[in-house]
Amino acid sequence: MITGPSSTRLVLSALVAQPQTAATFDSLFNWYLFFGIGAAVVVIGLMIAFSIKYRSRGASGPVKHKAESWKIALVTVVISLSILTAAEYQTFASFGNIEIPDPPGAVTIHVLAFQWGWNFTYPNGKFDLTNLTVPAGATVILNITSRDVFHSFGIPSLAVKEDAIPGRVNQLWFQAPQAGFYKDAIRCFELCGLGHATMIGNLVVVNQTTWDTMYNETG
Amino acid sequence: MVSWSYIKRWLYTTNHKDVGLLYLFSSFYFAVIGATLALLMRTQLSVPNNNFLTAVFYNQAVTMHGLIMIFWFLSPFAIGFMNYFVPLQIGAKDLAFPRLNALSFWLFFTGGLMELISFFAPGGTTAAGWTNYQPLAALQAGSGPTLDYLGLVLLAASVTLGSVNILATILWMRAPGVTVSKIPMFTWFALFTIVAMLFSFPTLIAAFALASSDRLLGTVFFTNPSVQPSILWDNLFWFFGHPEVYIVLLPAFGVIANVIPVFTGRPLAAKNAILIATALIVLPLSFGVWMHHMFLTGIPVSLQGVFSISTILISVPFDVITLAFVESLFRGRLVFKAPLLYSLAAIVLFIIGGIEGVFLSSPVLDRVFRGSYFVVSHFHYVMVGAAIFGLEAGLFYWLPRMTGHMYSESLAKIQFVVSFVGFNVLYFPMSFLMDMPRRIFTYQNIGSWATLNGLASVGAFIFAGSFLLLAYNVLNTWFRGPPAQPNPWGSDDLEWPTPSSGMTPAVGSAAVASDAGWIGQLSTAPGGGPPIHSAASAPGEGAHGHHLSSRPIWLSVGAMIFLVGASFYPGGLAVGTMVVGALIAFYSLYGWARDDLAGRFAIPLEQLGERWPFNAVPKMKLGMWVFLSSEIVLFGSFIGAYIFIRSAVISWPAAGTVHDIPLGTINTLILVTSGLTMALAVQAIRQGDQRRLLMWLGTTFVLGSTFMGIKLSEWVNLSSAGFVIGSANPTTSLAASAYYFLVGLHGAHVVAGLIVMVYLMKKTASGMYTKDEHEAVENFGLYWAFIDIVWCFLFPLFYLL
Amino acid sequence: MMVAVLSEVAVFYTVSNLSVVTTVVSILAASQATAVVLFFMHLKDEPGSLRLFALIPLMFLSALLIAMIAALG
Repeated sequence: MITGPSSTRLVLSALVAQPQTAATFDSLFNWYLFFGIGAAVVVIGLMIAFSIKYRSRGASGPVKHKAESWKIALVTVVISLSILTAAEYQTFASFGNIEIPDPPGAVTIHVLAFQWGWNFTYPNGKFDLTNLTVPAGATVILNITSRDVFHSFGIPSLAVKEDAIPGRVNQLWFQAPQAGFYKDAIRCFELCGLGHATMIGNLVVVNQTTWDTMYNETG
Repeated sequence: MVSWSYIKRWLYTTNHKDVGLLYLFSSFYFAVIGATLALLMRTQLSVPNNNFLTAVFYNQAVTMHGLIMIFWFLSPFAIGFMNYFVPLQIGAKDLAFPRLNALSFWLFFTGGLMELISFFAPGGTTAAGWTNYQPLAALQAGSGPTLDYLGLVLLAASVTLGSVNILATILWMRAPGVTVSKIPMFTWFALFTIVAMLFSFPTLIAAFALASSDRLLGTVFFTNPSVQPSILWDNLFWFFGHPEVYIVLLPAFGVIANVIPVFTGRPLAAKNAILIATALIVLPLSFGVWMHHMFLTGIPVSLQGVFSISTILISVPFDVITLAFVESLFRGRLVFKAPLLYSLAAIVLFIIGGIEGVFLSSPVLDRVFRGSYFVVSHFHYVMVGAAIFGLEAGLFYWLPRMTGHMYSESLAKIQFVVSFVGFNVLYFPMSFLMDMPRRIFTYQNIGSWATLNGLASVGAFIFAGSFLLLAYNVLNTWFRGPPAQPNPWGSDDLEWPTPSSGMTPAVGSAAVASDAGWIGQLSTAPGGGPPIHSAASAPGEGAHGHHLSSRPIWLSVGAMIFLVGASFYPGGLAVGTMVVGALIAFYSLYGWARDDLAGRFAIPLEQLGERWPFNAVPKMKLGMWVFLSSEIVLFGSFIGAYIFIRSAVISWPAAGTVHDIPLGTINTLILVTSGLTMALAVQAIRQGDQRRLLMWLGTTFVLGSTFMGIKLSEWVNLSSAGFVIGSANPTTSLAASAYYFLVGLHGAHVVAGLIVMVYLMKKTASGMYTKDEHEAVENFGLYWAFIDIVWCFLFPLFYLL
Repeated sequence: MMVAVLSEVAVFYTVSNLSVVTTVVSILAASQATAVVLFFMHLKDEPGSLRLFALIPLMFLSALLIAMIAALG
């Protein structure tokens, strides 16, 4: 159906699955889009139709009209509530994107936001200021915080984001199925001072063994 | 021909039409500034890696653009219409409290001046976004942000006073025949807007007062990290911020609801459903959704779910309203003049923006949208598209009424097309930029970013250009337009003379805005009764017609000078400036009181109700209750912030170790007793006993003063024991910040009460209160009891817990 | 009113568990407030619609407070 919103979205190959978080986002988004555009087309269409059909052709002044009825209001409420309830249900069904799972083999990386950059610290204590390197296919959990002001850590192509707040640790998770170097995939999404526009990082997805060597084993 | 008396008339007027025009013109002035900032930003963003603006300036621009447009353009534009037309629509002669109304305007204006001055402070103005997130904002040193915050406080004071005023007007000053079912839609929506303002602005004041206190008094509310300042600010700001966006939107809906029936020749569909829906939006829904701005802050998923549901639910009443508007076209006879065109466009843009809002209600989808240009698209569609196009409909609709001249319809239509096209070219591309962060001063050349941004920038200039056309049309109409019919649209609403009244427009001097064109507007009451409102002031009527008073503007100027001085504290000239400002302000207040004593004007201040010519008794009292209602939210917000801080912080001075509990208890008992004596005072005058009134007032005064005296001694002891804001121990510093701020605020209220008591005692001694006429005493009694209650909460909070 | 104040202080001195103190003190403070509002401010005698001006802000503030505390969790 409609492709994802981001111009930096991970390129799909027909043989490799989308990252789960992105896939969930896309289907939810398309759902909302379908009903959103549908509602807009219907209502705006009605407005245009009425505007054309009932335009005054010279005459003006009051028109006889029946007493007001509650029908339209009631129908609107019923239809609205149905669509919105369905949408909300879909959202709740997608909460897997924001609830942090705890599978075996999950990898936890610490992200420290600062003015103006990101510090990625790995299980073996090594850290990197430019690249977030993760193993392909594993569940990655990020513990995000800030050491100074309110930032927001986001990877639009994976449809994940959490605020980086001083004094608090927020978590997000994702799985990146395909290895690759995704430049500038990481950005800051909360105004944090003069360097806000430059808080950019790369996402590097490598295979599990490489990653273990780099970041899981000490020494 | 601009004589001194002409200028004086505009500076000192309290007439609602004049004040309305002042608001309208000022709001356009601020809009030009806000728009210039926007155009500068769009120029910077038109191409990637641009260096037209530095990051320093860009961040200030984006912040001030938001603040100025929201607070000094959108709402004042609506308030200008409310001032001008609400009294006319309900058959009232003016607002309930005219001098207070003028004060509201001048506070708004001087607040705006402070915003502009802040640009020139060393280091520039605040640069943390209009949302002013902490602790980024707190880390920006300098007077610029302080000037900005205090300007906002002036504005919030203006709005609070205005709310009390307009609420009292709508609730009590309707002419006979204007029953609830006859209230026009614009007035209804004004009422709803005001109620939302009343309960949301105090939290704004609380948030910015705490932030200003950090900057000026050294408190640590947002600089002590263990407090979780980001979350504290987020909650306080957005609890205000969300209702605020409906405050911006609803008046435009009121215009649309008022205008559509006039141009379709059929009544508004589902009018009661619209009213109920709007009432639900205002209370409780708009106050129950604010955490959708905080989905990503780490709040529990269950809480995200709750606010997701409440947010999506708020669509329902809006859907009802939208569909009712659409149904109102059904089987009508549509005349496509500018007011209708703009109304329809506003609805279309609202639909688009509103649907974008539904996307944002999903915490899952928000993981992509948060902090991106999708959000920017959403809120501009609703706040600029729906609100501005709606208010423009009102502008064209009411221009003949305000000026006596008719605007150029063809020019309005051309401008409409340019505006609508420009608007969409500007904002629609942004909805595709959901991976581009907001508030970045430049961007790299990635994918379609350059194209979309370039397109948006082009749209910005087209859209801005359309306002030049608007300005030309409006000004041309005002000074050179052809005379208009008294009721060119054939509306039944009360602000238009009905055809049967047979009034011909007198061609008044076009330069004099208020009432130009009509000598009087006589309108028959619905049902054909006697005329409702008599001739309003004709141009040049002078003191009586415009009810001149110099106090509001001088009070505002004094307040502004004081606050400007305070922003630079402890710099060289700061204290001197503060003294000058305070002197001017106190002199105005003193003059105001003396005007009352001499009967030179009707009483404006709620707690000093006296010889208002109309229905005095209920109005003043409810004015006081309305005011206290907002004070409940104010103190409640502060207390709430305190409780939040206590919950967030792990270590706190144990109860009993800092404060002198026995002394505090005695002091509390003293204040409680004073509450009793005040009630006895009211009791006394209800029985007509002036001597006992004086006695009890005096006793209350003594008790109140004793309370303050003991408090002062407590403070002296506490400071010498090291319990100060500037303490090196962060926990002590935090506890001290909270204590001195909150107890100090309460104390300031007590002192204000004591001063008023002196005034009351003087008037009692002069025999001015009687059994039937003692409104001021009653209302002051309410105020004093309220202070009592607040202390009943503060005492245990600080001393016992 | 005085009784309430003195009781609060008594509770403070006698009970050591913070939650208990908080609860009791809150209840006492709330009753004091209600008493003042109803009697000193004569809300008892006023038409019901006036009471809205006292109740509505309290509802909002409760919501704000509850949500704020929940947000910490």
